[in-house]
Amino acid sequence: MSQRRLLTLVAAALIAATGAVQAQDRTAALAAANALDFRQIVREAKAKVFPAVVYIRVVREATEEGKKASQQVSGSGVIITDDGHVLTNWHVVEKAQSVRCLMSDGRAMSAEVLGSDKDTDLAMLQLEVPEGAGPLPAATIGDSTVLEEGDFVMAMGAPFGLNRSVSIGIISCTRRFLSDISEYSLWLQTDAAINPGNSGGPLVNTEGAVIGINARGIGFADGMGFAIPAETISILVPQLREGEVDWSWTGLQLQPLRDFDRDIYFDETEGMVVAETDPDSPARSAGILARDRIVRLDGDPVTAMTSEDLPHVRRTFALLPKDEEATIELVRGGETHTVTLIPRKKGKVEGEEFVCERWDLTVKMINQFDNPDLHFHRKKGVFIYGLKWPGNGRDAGLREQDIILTLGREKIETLEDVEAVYEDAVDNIDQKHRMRVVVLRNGLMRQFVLDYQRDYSRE
Amino acid sequence: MTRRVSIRFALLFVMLASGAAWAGEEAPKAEELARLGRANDDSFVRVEYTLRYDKGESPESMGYPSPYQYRRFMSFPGQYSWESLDEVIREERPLERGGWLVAADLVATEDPMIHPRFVSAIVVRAGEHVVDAVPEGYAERDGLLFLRLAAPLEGAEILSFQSDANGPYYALDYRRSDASWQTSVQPLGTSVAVMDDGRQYLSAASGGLVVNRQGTPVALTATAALSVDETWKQPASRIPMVRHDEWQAGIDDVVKEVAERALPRVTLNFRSPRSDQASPYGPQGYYYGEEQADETEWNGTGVLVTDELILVLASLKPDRTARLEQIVVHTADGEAVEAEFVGSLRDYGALLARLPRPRTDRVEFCDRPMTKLRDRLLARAEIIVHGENRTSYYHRDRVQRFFVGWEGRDYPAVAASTSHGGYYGYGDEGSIGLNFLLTLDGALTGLPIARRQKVTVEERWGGNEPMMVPVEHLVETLDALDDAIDPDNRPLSEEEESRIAWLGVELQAMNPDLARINEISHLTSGGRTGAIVTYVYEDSPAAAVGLELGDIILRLHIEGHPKPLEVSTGGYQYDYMEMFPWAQYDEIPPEFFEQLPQPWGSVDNQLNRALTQVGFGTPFVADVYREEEVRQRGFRVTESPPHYGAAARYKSEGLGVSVRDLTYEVRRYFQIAEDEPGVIIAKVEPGEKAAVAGLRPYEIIISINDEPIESVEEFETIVRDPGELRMFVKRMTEGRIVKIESEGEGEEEEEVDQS
Repeated sequence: MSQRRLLTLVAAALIAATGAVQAQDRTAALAAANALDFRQIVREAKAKVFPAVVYIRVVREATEEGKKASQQVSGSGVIITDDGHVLTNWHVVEKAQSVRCLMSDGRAMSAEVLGSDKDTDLAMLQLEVPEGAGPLPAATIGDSTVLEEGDFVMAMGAPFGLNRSVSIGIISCTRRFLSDISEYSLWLQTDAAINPGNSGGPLVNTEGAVIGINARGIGFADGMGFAIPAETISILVPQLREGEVDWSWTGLQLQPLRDFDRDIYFDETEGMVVAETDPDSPARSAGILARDRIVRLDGDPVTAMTSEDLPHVRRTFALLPKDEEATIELVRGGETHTVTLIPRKKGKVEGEEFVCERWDLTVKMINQFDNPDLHFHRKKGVFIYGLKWPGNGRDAGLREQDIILTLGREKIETLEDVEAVYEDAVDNIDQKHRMRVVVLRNGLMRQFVLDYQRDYSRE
Repeated sequence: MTRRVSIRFALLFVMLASGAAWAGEEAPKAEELARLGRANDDSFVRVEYTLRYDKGESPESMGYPSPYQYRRFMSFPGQYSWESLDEVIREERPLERGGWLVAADLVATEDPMIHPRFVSAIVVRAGEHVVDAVPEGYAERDGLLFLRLAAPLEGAEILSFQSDANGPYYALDYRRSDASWQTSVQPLGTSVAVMDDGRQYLSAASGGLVVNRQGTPVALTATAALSVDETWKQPASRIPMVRHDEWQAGIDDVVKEVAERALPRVTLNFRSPRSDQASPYGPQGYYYGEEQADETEWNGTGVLVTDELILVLASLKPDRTARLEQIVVHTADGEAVEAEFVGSLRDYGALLARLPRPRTDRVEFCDRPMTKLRDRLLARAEIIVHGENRTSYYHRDRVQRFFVGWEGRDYPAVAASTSHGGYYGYGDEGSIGLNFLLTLDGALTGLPIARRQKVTVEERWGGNEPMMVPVEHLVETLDALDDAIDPDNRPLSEEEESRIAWLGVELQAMNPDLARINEISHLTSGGRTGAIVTYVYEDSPAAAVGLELGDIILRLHIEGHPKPLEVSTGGYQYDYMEMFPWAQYDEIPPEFFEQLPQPWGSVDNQLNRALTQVGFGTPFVADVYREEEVRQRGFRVTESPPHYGAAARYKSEGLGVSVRDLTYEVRRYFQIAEDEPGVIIAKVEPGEKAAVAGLRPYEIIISINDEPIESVEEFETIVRDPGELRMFVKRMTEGRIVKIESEGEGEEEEEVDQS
């Protein structure tokens, strides 16, 4: 369906809506529709942002299959400064080896990832602008907090190279909470079509300002696209320019006062409930207990009435200065207590990886946030991330998510430990090609014999 | 049980130098022997049996014993042909046997002992001449069958016996073999067997027509052992015979009556196995366990051994007997009588039950040992039970050989079970008949009982086949009943049934690669046995003797068990168990909760089950390999603390949730210290309050309304009353508060497994 016809249809729908009310006012209705001049509005808005939309082509290195595999992925992005800062999704440029961007005018440039944040799925690129290229077209970031459900928005992207696409829709929900996806930010939900190639492209309002970055659709549902709101983006842009977003970690597991889905309602109207504190966390050190109700942070009231309030509250905690005291007022058994919380740096949210080519497997550091159930069994360690099929590791009976305790006689705690054993094993493969591997699986020790005499890469 | 080494079985073979020395004459030349073979040619006839299927069943193979006995039969040459009668039918040929015309219309032949239901016609042939024949009678103590001919057989001559003719003697055997009908001639008396029971036999390869050197018939016999006193020398007309109509009347009036009354159908009813009991099937559908281990009904045969006691021929392992709830005896007069469990025999696969009131149906035991009934015509009652159907057939049978069997006792070479379909054993499915041997006056002399195998985890098949046990062995057992009963093999309450032995370790099964890298291939049969210790529980038997992580348990030597118990955890079930989907747990809808695997392996594994069957308190020694050395560690079979499968549990109908106490392996899995509170959620009913509130199986309820929950009793006490329940729930390191408005349990409260 062409853009033009679509707009005509939208206009016609508006006309029909008004026209149905009062048939006599047909002329007046037409006049009103003309006054709205929807096509003009869309065109203007589009014109402001379209030139800034870039097509991104990424070569990334994947290891989840148990080997080093280069993959080409593509996505979209939007230039937000005339010197070439591009906003896109973290998942578009994750593990990128090289990033190339194609602008709407046909210029192609390499780009470097300045910073990214897995939690919010945002990344910032710096285009390598050639000398004398002049200022680039840049879009402005708007205000997502004034949006209301029903506002017209456009999702833009460059799914296939030079072509740019736009789809139109309305804001379906301004505060969508998706549990377990994005800890610190709510989502904008729109029925404007967001498809895989649109990832990283802008969601634009009728004024032509970027009010979100499109991040995901839902496979089984039509007309449900989700974008990271400009509110979140604005907070993070300064940090993204500097590198990884540096969240603070308190180890608080929070629960809202009202949970319709689970039919759980607390009588109180202020604060939020501590569901649990992570082991060895600042919250636990501060003496905060599960079932406490936090009511104030540094003197200011904090409340999570429903789960939609949680991302904001979590973000507030995650933005507290690190290693500095914060005062928390909480209610425990009817009495108010004040405790001092010293947030720590959250650090990496994903472990480093290492490829053991001859063993046909890849390993990864256990990360508290990425692999909580492995971390539960071993605080510091290395686990099997990927197993090639067919391959020596798989033949030995090893499995993904096995935590490696020893390789041969060496105890394993870090990637360097694995690396050292691996290099040594490959160097001495003529003398020895069999190694005992002890892993932790389901919390129990298991022994395996890894025989790597076979060279699957030559088969 | 004392082991008897009997010398009764020592056979003294006296091999005489030659027949000539014995006879004091020149040995006959081959030509003379050949002339002997032809001397009575005209009296040799061929007997042809036309066989058929009956009710889809074919006659048993000739002399074919159960697989268990097969090996022993093989040591008797000649006597048994392994001709498949099924094949005879399919090849559309008659079963052919040699015979001798002993009167104008009477033929004697070796009795093939085929049940009449499989025989559609018998004819006797002499050259071109063929006449029909019917059974006339059966020799009393020789394997001969006499056939009455419908008309005199032309072309054949009647044998004329001269019993007082002098030796030496020759046995003439006439049979179809090697593309022709042949007569074999063998000198009799060139070898003699002298038994320590006084019997002295001439040994012949088989029976047949006995003639002297002139070819004069002296006797006719179908046995291979002829007494040296030559009492067998008699004309065929003098052979003691049971006439067919006498036989039939004896079966109908006596044997059948006894078998119907004294060998009734018995139904055993079992409690359903616990859902968390180790399934005999592994995750890949491979079979690990015992046949029909989780059936809840068994139908089979019992023997009324006294006025009150019935011996039920069911070889139940203790874990099956544990669930036995009801024994029903279906008497001949159509009554269903409930009997009370008395005990399982320790050495035989059978159990005893007591009838509510004495009956007069009991079987008479034959007062002569079975060895005294050698070669005699006996009745064999074959009883087939299929569910509620009981069928019986009555056969002729004879005990011609004995073999030495378990504990040095003598067992007859008679099949204890009859398969018309290729499967042998106890059990109530398939075409399996159990065979009982009775004398013609209705006394029981042999019955089919399985010998009970010692506990093992490796041999999952076999050991359940009955063998023909002379009744005197059973009498011995019944006379010392207190010793004969295994106190550990009895019905148990559900709670008792959950008792299981433990070593206090988690194990990983050995495999060839692991055995090789640990350099213990030679100690583990190349990696097929043994297990690696992967966890040692505190305060466990293993901890007490100092077992450590990485030790390899090779095998267990259990007192009183001749074969060591190989350590096996039940194959691959554990090792290949899928990772529990914790990462996706929130996305799994409640309808699928029941399909979730238990995150930790079941402790109800084969090793623990085998130890339990050995019996609590039994001493045993474990061979443990550590640091290139095999060490011995002494244990006693110890009952494990409550495990998840047997934990105290409570189901709240109002909330739709079942909880259990935290048990040792659950605490290990979730790293919950012994003094930390909590109950684990075992089951959540979809759509009920707990499910709506987001509770999921394998989450731990730590406290309710700020009260720590230490046990299911405390949980029960709190949820029983209506009111708000504010639960603190944990999953690994994640926690949350769950609020449920409880309406209390009221009248609907229900306790599970608190018997």
